[in-house]
Amino acid sequence: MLIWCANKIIRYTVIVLLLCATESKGQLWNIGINAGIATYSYQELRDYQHYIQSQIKVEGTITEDFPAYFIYSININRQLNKWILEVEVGHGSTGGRVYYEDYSGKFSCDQIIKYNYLNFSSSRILLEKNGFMITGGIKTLFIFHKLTIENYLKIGNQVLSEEEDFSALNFGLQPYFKMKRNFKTTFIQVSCGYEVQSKSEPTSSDGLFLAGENGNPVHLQGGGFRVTVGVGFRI
Amino acid sequence: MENKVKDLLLRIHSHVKRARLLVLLSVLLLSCNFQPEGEIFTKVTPPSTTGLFINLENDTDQIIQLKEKTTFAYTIETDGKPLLESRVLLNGNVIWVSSLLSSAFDLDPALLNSGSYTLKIEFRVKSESGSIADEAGAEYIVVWKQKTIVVDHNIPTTPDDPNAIAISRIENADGILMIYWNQYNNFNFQYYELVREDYDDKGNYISGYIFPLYTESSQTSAIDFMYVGGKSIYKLKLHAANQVYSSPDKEYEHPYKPEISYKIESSGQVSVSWNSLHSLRNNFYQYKLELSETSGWAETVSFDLFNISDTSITYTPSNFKFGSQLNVTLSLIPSEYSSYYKKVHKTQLKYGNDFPTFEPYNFSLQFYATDKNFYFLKNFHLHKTNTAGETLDSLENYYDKIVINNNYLGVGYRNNKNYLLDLQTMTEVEELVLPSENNGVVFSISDNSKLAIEANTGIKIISLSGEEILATPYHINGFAGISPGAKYLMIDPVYRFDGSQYEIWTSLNSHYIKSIDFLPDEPSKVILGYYDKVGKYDLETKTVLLESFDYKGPCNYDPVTKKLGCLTSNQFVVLDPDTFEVYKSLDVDPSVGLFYLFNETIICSSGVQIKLSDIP
Repeated sequence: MLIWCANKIIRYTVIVLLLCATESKGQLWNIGINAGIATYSYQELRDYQHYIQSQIKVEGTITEDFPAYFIYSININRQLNKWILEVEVGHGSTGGRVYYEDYSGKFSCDQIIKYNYLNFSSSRILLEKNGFMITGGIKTLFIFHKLTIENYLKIGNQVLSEEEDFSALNFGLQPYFKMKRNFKTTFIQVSCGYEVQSKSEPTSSDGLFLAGENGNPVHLQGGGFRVTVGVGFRI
Repeated sequence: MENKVKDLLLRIHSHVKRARLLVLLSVLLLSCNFQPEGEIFTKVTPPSTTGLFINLENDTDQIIQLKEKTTFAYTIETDGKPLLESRVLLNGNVIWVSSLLSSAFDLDPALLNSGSYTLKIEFRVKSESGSIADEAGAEYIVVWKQKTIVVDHNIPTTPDDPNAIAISRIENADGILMIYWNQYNNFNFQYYELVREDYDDKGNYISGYIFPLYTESSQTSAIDFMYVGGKSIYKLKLHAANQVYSSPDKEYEHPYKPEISYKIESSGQVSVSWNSLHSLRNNFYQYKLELSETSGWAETVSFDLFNISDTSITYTPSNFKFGSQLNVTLSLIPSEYSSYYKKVHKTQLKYGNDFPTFEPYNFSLQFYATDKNFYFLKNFHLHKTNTAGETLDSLENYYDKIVINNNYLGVGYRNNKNYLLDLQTMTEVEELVLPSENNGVVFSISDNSKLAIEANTGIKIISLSGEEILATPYHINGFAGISPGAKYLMIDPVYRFDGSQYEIWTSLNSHYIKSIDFLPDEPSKVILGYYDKVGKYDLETKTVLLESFDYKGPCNYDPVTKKLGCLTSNQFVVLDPDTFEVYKSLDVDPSVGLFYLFNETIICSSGVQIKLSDIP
């Protein structure tokens, strides 16, 4: 519940910042919106998929195993000489599925991950020439995970389904490089980095945890590459 | 400061459009979340019922007519698939569950109402298809076999019922007795039960026999190999639906009568013959004739004859004389079940002709020459018969003793009272009121209706009104009697009334007397039968007219032939009463009863008579 509230607060904070961050002079404030792609490790969730695969007596298939998927973010930064301080709020998702179906019924086990993150980063301008800028820095991330387990079993006309939400908070660090090209008051930017995350144990609102093989809890650790392209304008 | 605010407001205003665009774009992107995809259909061969069977034992008809408790056995072929269970349902209700490949259940029509039922035998096996439903234990193959069970408890209740059965006819077919009936067509038939009851000629039940049960409803006839004549009633019982319906009785009586006859040869040999059972020849197995003597040593002689034409035997009894009887038992043994069934015909072989048996004591036999009727006590009743022994009338009170005179009057003693009897009307006229001290039994009545009684104080002569005529201090010692005119009282001693008083004659030794016979035409003369002699005496003159120690008493005088019959040892001799010359003599068995000579006939109380003319 706390994490859910935090997610909401972050979202509305970003919007307010976008609307209010106009007081600077000399167009030192940059507001951008970014879209990109992220890869994920989530090794324990992959193990969990294999565990599920082994538990059902039919030959289930892992049709999705946490593939790279789109991420989105809004960032606002301020340039201070050669340094840039940035706040970023983003959202990403991925998931997995174990699936089996034949004439008599079907089974699917979906693991859907959605997360929001809050990034505080600082970077240094490595090159700036003719409106083109290259910076390098490190992001400090607070990642609010929401893991939804959706199990579905249909035998003949009988259907059994269950859904449980788990949440977890991870911390992450992401070294990155960003290339930026300014056009009058607007700009485009490309960012790429690799994110490492701490390991967290997702729990449900009832205090349940996701049990894997031998009843051990499944941890979330979704590190991976992050590449985004964004547009923005300067204030 | 005011300028700064204005500047900020202007800058915000200039970027509002772009900020809106960014917000809208952000919201749009936020809604594009990952959704797992990928549905792979795995091809699995669905299960089939190939190789799955229910084998129901004796499975012939789709419609099973259930008429008795039946066990249904079945086996299941699963083609190697694990059997979950088999079930039997009757009209949808589970009546049997098994987990074995071979099983059996019972159906009892007694527990079901009449009607039609759906019987379903089904089994479930694991499909072993490998499908997800199979692995989840939710997929199995059901194989069933369905039958229709019909129960009918209805059986006929009255002969009018269309399904009622009845014996249609019984006939002698070439020496075999055949019984026919109509077929019962309902499936709830169990068996026919044919019963025969045998009755004698008087309609009395003799025995019953139950034929082997006929379990095929199509059988509508039976052969009675045991019937060898006589009156029989056949009953056919239908057993169906555990109930019984009895058809109307059917009576059958074959005209065959054995008609046992016999002939006594002068040599003493007896020939017995009877009618052949030829008309029922195929039912014949054996004649068995048994002869047993009724007196002396009860020796039984048996003859076994296996030829249907052998219908006579000869036999020489060891002690067969007039009065004797041989019990004759002719058993007709049928060709089947001869070990315990036989038709028995009994008769008595008598030396002489039939005459009713009568009591050989108290009042025995009286004969009136005027109407030629006999009077005697039989079974304590007074009977009146003609000379052939045919009953003309009877007085069916229980008399301990009866005395009669020659004028159709008698006195019967019963319940300690004496009654005057009218023998012509065979009625009790009145109770005789005797003097209180004469509460004895009347032992003689004279032709002029005087009574001789023995009272506590002695023998007396009284009138019918109870007036005492003579009182003696004597009691009966041997034999006693009174003369037809009541002039002579024969006790010990003899009283003779001489007109004014009685005179005693003591020389007759009356205590040795066994019979007293007054001669009708000679009132003063009497013939006395002693245990060792016979004598004729004139009571008036007190003289012995004739005596013979060759003959003995008891004797009786026949008013028709005017002869005297005396039982002398083992002979009955007919004597001339005037000379004691033998007119006829006949060997007799004195142990069988009393012998009399009446109406030219010798009669024995054992129930036989013979004309004097038939005696050589």
